[in-house]
Amino acid sequence: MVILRSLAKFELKIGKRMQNARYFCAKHDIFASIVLQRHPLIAPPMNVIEKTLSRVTFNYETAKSLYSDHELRHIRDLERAKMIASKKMLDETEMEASSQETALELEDKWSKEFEQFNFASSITADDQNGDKRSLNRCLDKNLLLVCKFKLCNNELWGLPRTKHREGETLRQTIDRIVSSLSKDSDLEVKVLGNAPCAVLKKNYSKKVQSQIESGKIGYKVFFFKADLIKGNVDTNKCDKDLMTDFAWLNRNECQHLLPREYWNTISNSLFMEALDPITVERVINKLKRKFIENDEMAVRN
Amino acid sequence: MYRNLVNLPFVNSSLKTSAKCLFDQSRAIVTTAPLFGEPMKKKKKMDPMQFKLKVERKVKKLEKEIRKLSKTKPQLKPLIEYQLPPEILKDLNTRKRKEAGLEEAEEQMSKIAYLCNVYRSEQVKQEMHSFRNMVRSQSKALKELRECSEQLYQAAISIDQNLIPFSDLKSVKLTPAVKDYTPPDGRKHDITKQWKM
Repeated sequence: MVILRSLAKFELKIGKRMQNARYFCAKHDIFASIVLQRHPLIAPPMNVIEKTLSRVTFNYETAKSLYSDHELRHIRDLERAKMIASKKMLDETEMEASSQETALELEDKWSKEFEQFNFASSITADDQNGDKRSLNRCLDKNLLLVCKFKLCNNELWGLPRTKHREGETLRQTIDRIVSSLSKDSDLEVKVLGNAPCAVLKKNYSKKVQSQIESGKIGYKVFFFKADLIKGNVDTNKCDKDLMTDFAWLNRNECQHLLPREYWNTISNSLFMEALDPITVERVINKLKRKFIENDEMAVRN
Repeated sequence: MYRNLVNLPFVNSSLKTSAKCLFDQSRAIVTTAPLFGEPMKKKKKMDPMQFKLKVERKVKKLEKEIRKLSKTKPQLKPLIEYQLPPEILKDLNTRKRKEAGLEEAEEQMSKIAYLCNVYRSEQVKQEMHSFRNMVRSQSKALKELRECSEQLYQAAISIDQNLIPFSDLKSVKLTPAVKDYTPPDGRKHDITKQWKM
């Protein structure tokens, strides 16, 4: 009897939840939006701590190492020069070796060759132009695709989004965005999974609610992460509905451009890039305190 | 008797409790974990002659295997990267660094070890924080989706077969590639040794 009763209760609960689900479904419009990222192509510059760390470890490792062949050769060169200066007799093999290039001469030659080689600069022309549509900028940072679109006669900046159609999964909606972005262009995108990474839920204002016939009280935007593999977006070929303008922005620029609530929801699902300068400073302060304490201890002892 | 049992120091706690129960409520049945076990099976008695034969056969088999293994010694693949090459081992004394500075470098290194610890831990803390944020925001998104529709939720948590096996190999360099660079002529010659059994 008890079991039966509890079963009945359980069924009632489920029924209520199903009703709720239907109710919620009717309440919100569903949008899907793509968080398209280009990952860094070069390593970011080292901060103060990393520089000191790398310098000290390099010094330690060279001090502990054995002489290399080149250094041995240099030492022998020096010895031979001494012998010649003191006008001692040299045997034949030594004579032959003295006529060859010395290690120092070789080093000069190599360093000259190295100087002639021009490394590509990490600050590109597009960085200096401020061309934010180009992908050839901020090479050491993640870039996010942000686009401009019209909404109720307002021009807004946001991530590319579309309304979810009845009967398709959210992943299919995302694929629809991707195909309209890459229409007639060499854009290649890898969408990371079927699950959304973040959600933005908002209610319409009362005025708008009264205008809408379907009776929706708000909307939910589901964000999906994706990686850029190659290519770039072309505004002329894209649907005007999707975007009228676009830009590839780094974290800092996004934060300034996008509305705060919008940015907060996305930024949670983005991976941090490097330690911020505040943390670096905190570490340095911690160290200062530690070493001062150490010195005090030494004085006491 | 029970009292004695309870007071014994080496009796384990479960036995102690059961003994206590027995002591307090006389003739109560208390089940301890071992009582739930299956009773042991009786061993079949074997013919001693047969047993002997069996053991002998086993020994013979093992001997045969040992003989087989000892004929050819298994060769281990040497780790060349961890050994000094023979030409360097030969003149190790002349290769020892004579310049001073090792002590200073060691001292600096010991000081910098603390810096490394603090810095790394700070980095890991931030990383873990961002991971947690990611997981939280995703679970929130899935919860909201479930409220919208169960079907969409089920589709969202299904596995994306295109991502398996997942590979994300991004090597990052210090400077970008030079445009239109023509590398100098040369041939690639792989000198990695092949090891076969």
